[in-house]
Formats: sequence, C-alpha cells, structure tokens
Amino acid sequence: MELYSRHSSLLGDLQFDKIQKSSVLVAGAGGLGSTVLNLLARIGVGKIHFYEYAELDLPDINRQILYTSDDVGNMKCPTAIDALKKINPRVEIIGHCEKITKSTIIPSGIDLVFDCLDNFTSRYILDDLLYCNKIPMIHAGVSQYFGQLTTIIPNVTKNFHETITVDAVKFDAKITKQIFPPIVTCVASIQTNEGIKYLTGNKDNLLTSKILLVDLWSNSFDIIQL
Amino acid sequence: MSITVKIFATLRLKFGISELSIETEQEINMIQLLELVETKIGAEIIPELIENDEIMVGTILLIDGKNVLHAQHLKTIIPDNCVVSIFPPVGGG
Repeated sequence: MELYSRHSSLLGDLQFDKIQKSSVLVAGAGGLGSTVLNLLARIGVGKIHFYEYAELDLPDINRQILYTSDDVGNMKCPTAIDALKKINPRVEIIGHCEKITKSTIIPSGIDLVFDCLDNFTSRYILDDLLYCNKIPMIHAGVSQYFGQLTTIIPNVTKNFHETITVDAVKFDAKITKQIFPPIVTCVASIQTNEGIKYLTGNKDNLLTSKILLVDLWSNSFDIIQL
Repeated sequence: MSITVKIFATLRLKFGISELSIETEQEINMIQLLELVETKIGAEIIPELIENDEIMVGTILLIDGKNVLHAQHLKTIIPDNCVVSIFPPVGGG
C-alpha cells in the first residue's frame, strides 16, 4: 500500500503484517500520548485504543501535537479520534473518554500498552491492571529536559512499581509542570519505536530490566541495567 | 575500594557533574558515600537527596541497578567496584 511504502519494505512483509494485526492501548493522550498515537497511526498499527478524560488547556499546546489552538476547551478524547482518523482512516481508533481506575477493565486482545500517563498514582494502578493480566507495557516519563523509559513484561521483568519505586502521592504533589517540547516528542518517539520492536518480535534490544535516561540538555542517553 | 558515581538529570544540571570516582580504604554505606561525594565536588548535594534522615521523595539511589529502598536504604553497604546511580525520576507525560 502506497501509504506505508516508506517503511513497510524496511520492516519486511512478515513484520509489517504483525504490526497491522496488532492491537495496542495508549494510556493518556497528552504530551507523550499525542506523539505516540500520531506515530502508531502513521505506522499502520491495526487497532489503537486510548484512554483520555481531560479537556484541552491552552498550555497543553506546547507539546500535545494532536491538537491545535482551535481545540482549546474541548475534550481531548473525541478531538484526538477525529485528528487520528484524518491522519490515517485505515487504522481502527477506539477512544475511551474516561480515567483509568482500579475498576477499569482492559479491553480484550490488547498486545501492548504504552504508558503515557502524567502521574505515578495512575501508573501504579495501570501497572497492577496489566501485570496481573500479563500484558506488557512500555513506560515513559518526562519533565523539563529529561525523560526515562523502561519496558515491563510480566514474568520477564519486575513490575513497574518495583522497577521505579517512589511514594506516588508525595511524588505527584511535587511534579513540576515545566516541560520543554522537544523532550516530549523525543521520548515518545523512542517509546513508539520500542513498542514496534516488541510487536514485531525484535526483543533482543528491548529496555527490559533496564532504564533509559534521556537528557536533551547535555545530549546524553544512558542505559542503567537494573 | 573504588566506586563510580553517576549523576543524572536535574542534579547533573545543578552541579555540573555527570560522573566521578570515589576511592576509599574502608567499607562505607550510602550516606557515607554521599558525604564523600559532597567533599569531592565541593557542593552540598545531600540536601537535594536527603530529608529528615530519609531519602527524599523524588530521588532514586541505585547500586549496580538495585534500588537501596529495597535494601537498607541509606545504611546499605556499598560494594567494591560498583556503580552508584543517582537520579530523580520524572513523572510527567
């Protein structure tokens, strides 16, 4: 298909077929989620679920690339659905306009989840939901000029809570809202790439039991073996 | 004993240092290591990491990738030839 002609041959038919048959879930359609969703749609992932419950605020525009100033005040979920369908009407987009809670039932058939949430309290809830259902997750977090990524695979790695342990309530109360746009799109791109490697079975170089620390201010990418 | 200390993110930005080597003849624990780091860099890094004798919320201290919160916290003994990583995880999305 011409739409995918710039990357389908690069991946090969077998791997691209896996992508088109994959079903993923993106938790959060804010900064990281905007870029992850955008890329997943352009790459041609077959079925893309996402969760997002918030309205778009004006300061979101600096990094949430699915939205424009015209969308400020609107709910992000239906806005993102429209934007993604315009980007690629061939992929199936399912927006869940709700917050992920302990009682959330993860849709069936999900192969992989992208953690694009903005706080540790919600991340630990998501971690519990996924780990007991044996669904892998690509975690990313960003702040200021810095980002981190790790890949959680049940029965292969520790769960997310054990991998990055903080007092979630106290930590979330201290999260700065200062965020420089390039770190968001950079980390979200790596997160998407990591997910595609998992979905296509290229698991040798995943960030399992490792954490990648990205520092755009000093141009450093460090991997810590956990 | 030789210990490599790596510093990341906002701490690197604030103190202008990414990695240093600490040499000591005695067995030391994490808080003693941080005191040696402070002496070596000539700047007060401990107030950025410790509050009321506890590891501050938003600080992760790893010894060869293992979080000291899963060991003896600031009293965790530092093994020879290990790498200690100090970073504040980031939580935004």
